[in-house]
Amino acid sequence: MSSSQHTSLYLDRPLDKSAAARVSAPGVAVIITRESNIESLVREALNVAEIRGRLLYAILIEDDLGPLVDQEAHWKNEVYRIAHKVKSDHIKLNRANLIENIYDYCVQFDIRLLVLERPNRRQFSFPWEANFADKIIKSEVLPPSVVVPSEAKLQKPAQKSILSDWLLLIGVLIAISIFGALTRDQIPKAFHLLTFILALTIVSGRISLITSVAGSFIAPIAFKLVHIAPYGSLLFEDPRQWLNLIGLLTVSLIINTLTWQVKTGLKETQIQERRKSALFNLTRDLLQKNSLEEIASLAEAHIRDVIDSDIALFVQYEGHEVKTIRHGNVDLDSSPEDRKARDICLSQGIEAGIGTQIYPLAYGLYLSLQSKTNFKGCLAVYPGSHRGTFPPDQLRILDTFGSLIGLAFERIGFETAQREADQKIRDTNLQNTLLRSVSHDLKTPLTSITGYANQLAEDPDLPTELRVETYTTIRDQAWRLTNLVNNLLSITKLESAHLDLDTEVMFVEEIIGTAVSQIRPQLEHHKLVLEIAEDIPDVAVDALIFNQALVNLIGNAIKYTPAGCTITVRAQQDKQWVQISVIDDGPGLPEEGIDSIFEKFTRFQQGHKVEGTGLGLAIVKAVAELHGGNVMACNRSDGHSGAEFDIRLPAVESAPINVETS
Amino acid sequence: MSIAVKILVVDDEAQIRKFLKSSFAGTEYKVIEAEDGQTALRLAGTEMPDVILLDLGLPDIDGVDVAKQIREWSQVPIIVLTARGHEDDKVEALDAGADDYLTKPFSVKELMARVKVMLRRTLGNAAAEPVVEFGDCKLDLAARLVYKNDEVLKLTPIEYKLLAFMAKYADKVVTHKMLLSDVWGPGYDFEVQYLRVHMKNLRHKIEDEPANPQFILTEAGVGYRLVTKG
Repeated sequence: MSSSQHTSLYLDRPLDKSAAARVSAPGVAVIITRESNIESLVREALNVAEIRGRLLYAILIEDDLGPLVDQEAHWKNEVYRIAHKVKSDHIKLNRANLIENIYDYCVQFDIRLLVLERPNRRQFSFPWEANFADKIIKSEVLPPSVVVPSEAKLQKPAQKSILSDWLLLIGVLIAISIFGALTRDQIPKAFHLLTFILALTIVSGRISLITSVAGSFIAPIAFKLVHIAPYGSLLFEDPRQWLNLIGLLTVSLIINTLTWQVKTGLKETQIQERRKSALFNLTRDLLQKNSLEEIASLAEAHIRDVIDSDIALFVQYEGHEVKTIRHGNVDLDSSPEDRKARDICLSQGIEAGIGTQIYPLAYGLYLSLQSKTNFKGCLAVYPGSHRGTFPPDQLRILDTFGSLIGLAFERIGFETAQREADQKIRDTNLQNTLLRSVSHDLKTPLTSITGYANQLAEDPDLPTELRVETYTTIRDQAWRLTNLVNNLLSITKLESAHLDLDTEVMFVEEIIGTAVSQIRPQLEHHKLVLEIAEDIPDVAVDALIFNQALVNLIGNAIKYTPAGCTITVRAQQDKQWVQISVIDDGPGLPEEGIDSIFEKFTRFQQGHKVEGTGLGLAIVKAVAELHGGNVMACNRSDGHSGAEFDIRLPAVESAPINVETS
Repeated sequence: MSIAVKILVVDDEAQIRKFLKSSFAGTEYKVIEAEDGQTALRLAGTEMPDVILLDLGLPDIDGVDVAKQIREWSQVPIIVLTARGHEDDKVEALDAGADDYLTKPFSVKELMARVKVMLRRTLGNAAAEPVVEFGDCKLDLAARLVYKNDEVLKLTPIEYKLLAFMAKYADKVVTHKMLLSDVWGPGYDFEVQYLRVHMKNLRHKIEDEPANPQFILTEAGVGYRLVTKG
């Protein structure tokens, strides 16, 4: 394929068979290299993809250190394992080459985001990777990148064979012995002794302790053979020469000890460092998670980073049953000891299970997740294949993890409680508003009806003019009451779960005509314009219920605009929707109220007094949604003032009906 | 008119009966009252009213059954009074033989208008008028021709039948079922979709602005009404 030997992208088959059918959805691609920490990188990418609701693709990049064929299967499996475990099934892998090919790949699969690890130059032996990552990040043609900080890959203990240690040791010893044999007449013996010590010092840092101790004993023998007469023999001419050899042995052993201590210290530091960073990462990540499951999945990943163990998580909120957030590899039903350990851990907040005094025969260790609230939690850790207790340092870190997870669970508990409380307050507020509005709206007309009726009953000599006014007021107020009651009945009916719509396929023209002819008596002071698109699809509606919604919208336009305004009812197709709009050229809607306009008992006061029940638009919304559509309110965007209400209903593809011709 | 027009008001609510009675006070109408279905059936037989205002929610017999039983022996016009939200009852009553409906609450004006339409058929000109006019349209039933602005409209046979049927019940509601069984015959009772298509075509020929109809009005969930009076 191409100019560069450096990169070629691997894995050309989709992980998910159905993925081919979904290539149209935008995706996120994770870029993996030989040195990537697949575990953390893929997890991070999966998070990124899930947050955005996108598919995850994986691109594996080969380097110039030979084909990755042997590792390909391993990588695939890793990616599968992680992605599968975190419940995503949409990873795809594809072949590509170079930045340009990544670009092609991104275009082909509609990838909008790349996730990659920025390698640390000091840490990695492949400097091209850092350049490569930089190139991707800085590239202007590629989609934006999310860079995951490079986490130290778990340094597996070097699997160098003991044989290579021995070869190195023996090789070095033979080399300096040969050098010594050739130059022993020219160079003083003391220098040769130093050469041996120097060589051992250097070598001991690179080989295992046993080999290097062995080297400490072999070196004096070699020295004797080469530098102490009689050469080539283990006999001594001068017994004092023993001192040289003992000196060499002692120095070399001391060097070994020191080297070993330094090595161990370094390893310890690395482990400490890793734990610190794991703790830090866990703390950071936990703060961003908002569900028990997410936290559990995160905790498992981080604990696995430090201690190779399976975990389980259980929580119990007061008065509720124990909830298993994550299963470990131990079936509690078949291990009563584990169940007892978990229960006592939950109920008493003490640790139990393996390595403790309580139920030590359990497979797992059960740690309490500390909490001061009504929440109880338990973190169970199951040592891997080996059955054994955890060393104290691991216990300490598990304990810390436990506290962190406990805190996170507690936070979620608080948040949930807070949300519920907020919702309750909102509900109560709504109910109060409803009650207040209903009682106000009932009382006002009733008061005036009663008052005027009394006046009529008590004063038979009321002048005709006043009498007429009184009658008119009583009539208007009674209509208002009627409207309110009708609307209340409607909204109650619409919001009840048992409402069955009696839908029929209808012509938009007829729907509009029905509403218009019903509302015509109120239209005397307004101009009505009807714009119905040619060949607009039919819609399926419950004629009666939908008619009410449309009448409400047109009625509102009449009510909220001054006399002389024009009301336009427009019907047009918008893809799979039929949109019926009621547009006026009145003052428009106050911007700050548009969002809440469809809520119950929202009413605008605009200059002139408008009497309504505040239920009309709530009914419209309920009706639109019952019909599988929606309703939207806005001010006109065509330069004119005025409000626009759009009801959208799903268009119906109706079979043409044969109609006889004349 | 020497003989007063008798109106039988059937409603179990005394307040409504009182309201209706006072609405007709001072007119040529004479109101007789019935507070339940049994009384209504008896008075319909003995008093021979000219119009019956029938509330559907009666304590003893279902209002729809009352209408059905009266129809078995009398063609007296029946206007049913319904509460909002009971549209099904309304259609059922209309299909059972009631002539029109009024949704509570209604105004006296509306009530009077409906009663007058009912009486137009029964009193005096009982035979169908040979010519029905509405707006700029004219339907000549004898010649089977429809004119708009004095020009003959080309209607299909079905469209003509629909229009003629609605004209027969001018200003009264006709249900889907009535139209379907009259125009297509029994067995097509539920093919409302056919009806809609033809009605749409008819409207396009009759109305100036079909989406803002002046004559052929749709009664949502019930049927149609041909309006002949301004």
